[in-house]
Amino acid sequence: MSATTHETHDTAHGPALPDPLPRIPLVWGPADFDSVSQQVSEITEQPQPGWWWPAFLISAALLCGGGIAATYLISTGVGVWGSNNPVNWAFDITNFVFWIGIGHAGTLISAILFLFRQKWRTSINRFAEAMTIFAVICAGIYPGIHVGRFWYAWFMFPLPNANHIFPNFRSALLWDLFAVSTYFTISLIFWYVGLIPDLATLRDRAKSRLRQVIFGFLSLGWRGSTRHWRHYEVAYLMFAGLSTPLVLSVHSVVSFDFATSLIPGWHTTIFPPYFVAGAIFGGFAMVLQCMIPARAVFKLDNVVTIKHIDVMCKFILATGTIVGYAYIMELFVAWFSGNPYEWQTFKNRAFDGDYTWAYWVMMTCNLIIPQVFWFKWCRQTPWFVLIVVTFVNVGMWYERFVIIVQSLHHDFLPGSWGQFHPTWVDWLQMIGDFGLFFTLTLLFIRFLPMVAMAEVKGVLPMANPHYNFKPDAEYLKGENGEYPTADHALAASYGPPTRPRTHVEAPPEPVPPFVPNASGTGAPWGAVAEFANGAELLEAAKKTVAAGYVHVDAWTPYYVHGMKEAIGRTRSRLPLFTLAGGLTGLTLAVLMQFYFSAYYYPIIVGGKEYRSWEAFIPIFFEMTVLFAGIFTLVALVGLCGLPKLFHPIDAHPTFARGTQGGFFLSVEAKDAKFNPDATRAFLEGLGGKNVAVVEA
Amino acid sequence: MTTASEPAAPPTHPAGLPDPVAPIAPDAVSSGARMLFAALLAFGLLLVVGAFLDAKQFYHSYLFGYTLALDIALGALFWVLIHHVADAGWSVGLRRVFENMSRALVPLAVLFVPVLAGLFSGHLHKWYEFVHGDKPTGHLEHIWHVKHMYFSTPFVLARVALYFAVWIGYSVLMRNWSIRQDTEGGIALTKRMQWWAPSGVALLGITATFFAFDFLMSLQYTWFSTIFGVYFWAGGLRGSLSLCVLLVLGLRAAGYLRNTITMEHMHDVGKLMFGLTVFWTYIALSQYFLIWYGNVPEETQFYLLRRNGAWYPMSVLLPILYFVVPFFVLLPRAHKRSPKWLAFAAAWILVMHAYDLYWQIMPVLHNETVHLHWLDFAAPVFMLGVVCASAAYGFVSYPLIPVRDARLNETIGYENETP
Repeated sequence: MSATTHETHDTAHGPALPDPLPRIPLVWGPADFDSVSQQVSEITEQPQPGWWWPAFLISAALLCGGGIAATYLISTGVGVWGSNNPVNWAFDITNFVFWIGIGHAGTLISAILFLFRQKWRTSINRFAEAMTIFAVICAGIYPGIHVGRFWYAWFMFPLPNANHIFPNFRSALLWDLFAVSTYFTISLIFWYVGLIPDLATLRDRAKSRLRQVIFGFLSLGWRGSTRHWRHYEVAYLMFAGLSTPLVLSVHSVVSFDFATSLIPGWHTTIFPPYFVAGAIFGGFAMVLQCMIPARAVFKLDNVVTIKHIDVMCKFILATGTIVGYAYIMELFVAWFSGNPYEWQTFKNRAFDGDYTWAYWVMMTCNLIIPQVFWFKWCRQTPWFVLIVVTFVNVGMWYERFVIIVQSLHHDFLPGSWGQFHPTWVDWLQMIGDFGLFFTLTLLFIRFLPMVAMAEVKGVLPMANPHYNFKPDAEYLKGENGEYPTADHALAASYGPPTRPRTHVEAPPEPVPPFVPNASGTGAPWGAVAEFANGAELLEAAKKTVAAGYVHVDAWTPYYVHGMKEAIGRTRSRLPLFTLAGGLTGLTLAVLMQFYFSAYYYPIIVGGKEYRSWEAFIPIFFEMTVLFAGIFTLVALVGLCGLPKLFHPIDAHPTFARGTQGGFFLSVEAKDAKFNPDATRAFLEGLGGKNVAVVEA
Repeated sequence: MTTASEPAAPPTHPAGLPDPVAPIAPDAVSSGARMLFAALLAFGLLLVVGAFLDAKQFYHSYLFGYTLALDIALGALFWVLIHHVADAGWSVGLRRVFENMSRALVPLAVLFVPVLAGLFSGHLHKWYEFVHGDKPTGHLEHIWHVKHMYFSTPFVLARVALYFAVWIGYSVLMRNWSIRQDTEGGIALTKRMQWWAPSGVALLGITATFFAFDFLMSLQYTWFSTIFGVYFWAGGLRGSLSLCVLLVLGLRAAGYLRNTITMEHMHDVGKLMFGLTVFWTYIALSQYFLIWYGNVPEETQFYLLRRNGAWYPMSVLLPILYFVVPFFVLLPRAHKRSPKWLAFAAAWILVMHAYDLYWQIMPVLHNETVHLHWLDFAAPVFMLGVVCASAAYGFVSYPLIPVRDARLNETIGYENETP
């Protein structure tokens, strides 16, 4: 593969064509790498704002309520819930599906929008990914406690019971376990991998020893080396590629909990994509629900701009309409099929049943109200958006309630029809889940960077060597000297973007030519030079490699496009590990399911043959992705040689600003061409500043 | 409808474009055009002959070929619309190819007449006889009531009229504005296309779904599947992308647009083909899986019919040939950047898309086993010829790319940033 990694293009960079409709930068106003680092990091570094403790205490109190409800449930029995015949599933599964769904927007933003190169995602992906993880935690509570006997939770895992019977691999509930735990694991890995460069920034900014140690360990000793970035970027792509089908699979498997049954209202083929669209819809609403206040109180409106909110509203409109499409398909086909049982359920649901009110709450909140987002004012007025997304969150909760409770409450025999009445325990458990979610969210915004700094730096205009910096007065204006749209005028009102730095800030004391290391060996490790910006560093790296140096590395706060080729490296081989992991997981899943279901203790389920393979597909898929993801993480850490908490280059007096906004080039002493004085002079000749040889 | 009037002024384009983008000179393609025209005529005549020889076979083969062309043209319209919805920049050059492919919707509206003829002569859809027969008693009464309402002749005709009105309306609007922009430039038309496109996507989604319900799903009129419309879209999107790849690679091979639509663009198209391969599989699996698991006779009839005789190996091979093969062909990055591999993948997907449609339509005619007829080749070849000829008309009449698009600067010299 390496031979074809970087073909020449048919043309070099395009000619300067007119640009009548300039793209609006993603970050508004003047911003450079340091200002982004500062703006985001300061939120975690300064004392918490006054409202934080009250908000946290309220959330924690609600969480305690959930804890009380769960304790009461476990100590007394599942009868304390309102679930009963015929409505055996009610608030528990409704909340489970609701929270799993909330998580999906995070993965959409972090993975799917990444694959589609929607760079506006960088401002919101960290927050959304964190929400994914917290939402999955909230959801995960229910499978654990819903039978009231949590000490039997191990029944969910592929372990044999006393009679050597394994769990039923053809059951949607077991698929759920695999899907949700894979989803949680991969989302956590993806989130953590995304956090690594930002944790390094926090480490390098930290004043207290405690923060330095904590963030030092958590960042694994990340320093922005291009040798690491080349693996990192590919690993990120792999995670995105794995998470995209994974997020589809998770809510599809959740939909199988219902759709594989024969209950009218549950058994219909559109359920998988319908659930996925609904999940993304509800998830985006929750992202906005949290992001709009956070953006306001932390004054992030230059990073999470009104255009970000605008685009997210468009997503809500699109996915809400897709969900509406599914509602209409269900209703239409229930009628069109001519099946009286299907039609009975849907007629009861939509027109003349006990839960018709809930159906129309759902329809209004999910299909009708979001249509206001066809209008720009509605998308660009934060307080209004906040109201609409609240309706969406309510609507999505009701969607699951309608699907679950309404479909169940009319059993096949009219004699066993009944209604569901939630108890106070149901309510308290549900409120407790919200408490858990907001507690975790508040802790997150307090202690971790809620904007992906390294990724935002990579999309700043100054990071793009081809960005057309016009004179400030012409910023964002079209060829006729006017702003093409109102959005351009609004973005321009924040001021023009900062231009790339042209000089390196001098340190308080001049950098000595030889920098000793505390535990040094006396021998040089290599020469280090600082450059003003990514483009200059790229040029310098190319010239250094052209001069015959081999052990060259560039250290940057974000991945500079083209840098790995500049230091003489090719595309990472990391995808091979991903492939190996996927094949390993698939093989294990095949062996496990066939062996246990068809040979070790064969069981007929649902009239299917012992060896029928269809029902094994969900676990084939989940284990493929789980192992591929874990292999990718191990490969990333291994190929980068992390964790590496100490490194000789740390001794360089200005190197600590590398993860915030500095650009460094290093030539190692093991290079055959290395000579302390000549190499230092060479780097200075390239325009490097603060050049020094550091001790190994 | 295809904007026969020539633009008032010849399109001007900014200096510095890497290729000539003027319409392909008619004399450069005259022999090819004559051949294409002759082939279309010959295959059209063949179809007419077939209609007299074996009406039932003809109508089914015709529906098969017709659906292949229609969903490719609808897919092309979708790609045009979604380009505007997403305010995309990289795909400006490709958009003209899709605009030209969507020209086929006008001839296809005319060519829909034989489908209606087949339907109303009772040769094609069995529900025709059912809903126009006597009201049955017992269980069938429910279904008869519903189908009688839904398939009443005025309602069917009104729906068909609505579908084509939406499709032709949006494709003509988008195309005309795009071509007007070739002479006018500016951003007003860009804004207008972006304003109209989202509603077009929504309406296209609904109309394509109901087209699939009316003319494909209802071939077995007691069968139903809520996901069927999505399955239809997925196939059409794959087919249209593949034909676009073949057209672009053909243009490039003939020396056109070599530096305008580069392998950097095609790499992205390859990624979309890969993604849609997985998407199609996801949708196909969702439908099969839930019906298999539920095992209810009124649903399983669809798959049971496709287990008879040689339909069975054909059903087993469908996911292997239409998912596994393109998945692994398109997985390596190098393949998506190689014209040969990409052309192979596109041709493969196009053929397999026809295979999929054949598998959906033909078992209702030949219940027992696969029965290939020469009309099964003549019809799709003719229909694909109609799409290609429609696209070719666009290439010889109008600039090869939207020369004064507001985002032209992003598509020229575009570099794929995939790590």
